[in-house]
Amino acid sequence: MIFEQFTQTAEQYRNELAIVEGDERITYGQLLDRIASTRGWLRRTLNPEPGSVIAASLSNTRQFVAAFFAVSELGAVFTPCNPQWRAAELRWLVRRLGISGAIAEQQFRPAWDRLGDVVPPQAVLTAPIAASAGEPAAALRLRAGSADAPTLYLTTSGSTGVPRLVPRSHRNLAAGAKNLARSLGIGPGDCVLGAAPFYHSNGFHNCMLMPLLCGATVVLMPRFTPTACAELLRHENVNLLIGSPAIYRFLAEGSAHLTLPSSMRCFSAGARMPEALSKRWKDRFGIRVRQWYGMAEANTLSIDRAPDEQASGAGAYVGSPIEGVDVRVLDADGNALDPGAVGEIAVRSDAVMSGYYGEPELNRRKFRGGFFRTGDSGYFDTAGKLYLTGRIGRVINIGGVKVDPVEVEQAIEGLAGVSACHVDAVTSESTSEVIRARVAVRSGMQLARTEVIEQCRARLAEYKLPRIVEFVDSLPMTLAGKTPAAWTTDEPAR
Amino acid sequence: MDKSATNAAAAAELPDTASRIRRVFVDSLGLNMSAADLDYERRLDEYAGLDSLAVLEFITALEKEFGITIEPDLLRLDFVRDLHELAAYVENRIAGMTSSPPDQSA
Repeated sequence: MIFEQFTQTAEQYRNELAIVEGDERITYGQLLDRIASTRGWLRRTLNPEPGSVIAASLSNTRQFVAAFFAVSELGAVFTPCNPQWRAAELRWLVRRLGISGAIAEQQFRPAWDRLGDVVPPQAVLTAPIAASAGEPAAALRLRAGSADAPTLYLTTSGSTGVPRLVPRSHRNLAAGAKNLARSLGIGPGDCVLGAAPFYHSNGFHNCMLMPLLCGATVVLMPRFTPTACAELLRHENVNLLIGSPAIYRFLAEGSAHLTLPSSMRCFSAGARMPEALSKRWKDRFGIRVRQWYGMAEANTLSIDRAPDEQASGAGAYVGSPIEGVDVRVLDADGNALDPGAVGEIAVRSDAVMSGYYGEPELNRRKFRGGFFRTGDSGYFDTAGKLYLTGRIGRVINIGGVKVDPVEVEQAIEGLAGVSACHVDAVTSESTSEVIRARVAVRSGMQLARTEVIEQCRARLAEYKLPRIVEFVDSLPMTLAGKTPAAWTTDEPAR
Repeated sequence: MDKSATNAAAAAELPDTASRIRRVFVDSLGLNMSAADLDYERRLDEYAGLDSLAVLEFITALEKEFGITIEPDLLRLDFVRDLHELAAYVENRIAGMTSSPPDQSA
């Protein structure tokens, strides 16, 4: 069980620093106490049954960490939500999972308060709790339970108009953290700046859980700003930075006085680091940002680990598979391909989920011979290095956040005057990838950009809104009707 | 060359603050629209989604365009979406920056 494993680490490193959050410095012993008080608070309020679901709208704070471990210890399933989600998106989650309650920071409560018909107001707790509200750590009792039971649901985007729910079991989480810590040699004395949000896979698995399970220190940044990030890098002994390309871009552009020690290891996760940015970062700080490849369903697959490795092949170089993870490149029939041949990347390890929540049909297609088919295409070179060449499905990746184009299309098609819509991602000059909506307008009708934005905003989180809105008379045949052959490899026809 | 004199000459030719902000908004977010089509009387977020990353992109671009720093507390949607308030703030910041000694690092 994941909490049991954390407790072992915390007992062993009781006086070591677990978390730095602003001026607060929290040792492993203090974190155990905080988890106990959070658990006491949960028992007095929601008193969740084992297996019930607790949603959380929390920033990257110590409260997030304590809430996860407390919920997990109670045998319930922690379900972090993107705080940008609107009531409609939360309502979907609530209906799908039948949640028992939620923990929300005051600033994120308004969306929950609009769900009164499905979540009674008393089932939404406001974080943080008062420090004194708890029971002593000694009162924590470890529960027996199945290591294969889910303790976390992550949400990720598919391409069917609704998110997918990824159950993470105790075994998945423990294996993912262990494989990673061993591959990177992380342990007590290391200090990780987790700049990625904890409600996403990368932030949760790699920036938060992995360091805490191996006795390292996590430096929290509740809200990313380039200045705050530079300050933390300057003043805390951070030696591992895990961020998205956007974070590296902000740091490279601003922070004139920032210098980094050569011992710092920098990893880019979530999206491909543009080459020009890699070069700029290297010129500016003398450190190479290395690519990390993983996903909610499987945690980390591969990492570029050698300090001066040169990638030479076509596509995005993502290093070699980490310890304990079996990565293969498969053809359409599920046969492993030779080096150099492009196919679908598949993965098998204890960190791979058992299947998407409530999607038996999809799971039958995504799993083959114990391997999870990622939907990413790529190849191995003869040295066993992995390269990504694209997506087999239609999921859009905007700076590490996945967006389902169909969800956006459905929102826009709900607008009177729209006959069809196609959503994809394009790379603009000034920014990285942005969402583009091509909107076919009924003849004789006129639409304004602001109407499309307003329509989307009423239904979707801010990050799903298109930046490029093109009005067209009709969509090319290949784009109309939603299921061009090239895109259906991964998805059922709708 | 006298840098401040060049800057002053350039400033005289530049369009007004709000208009420059419009252009920065459209360019920094990569929107496919002309800055001139952005109505002064509408909120900026009527034209595009402004998640936290977009706000940060926009603010960073504003800092670069105007040579100012914007307080981190203002990295919020409700601060950036009103063009008039934003323009007033930027002008204040510019005034504040020019009355204090120049930042050697800039």
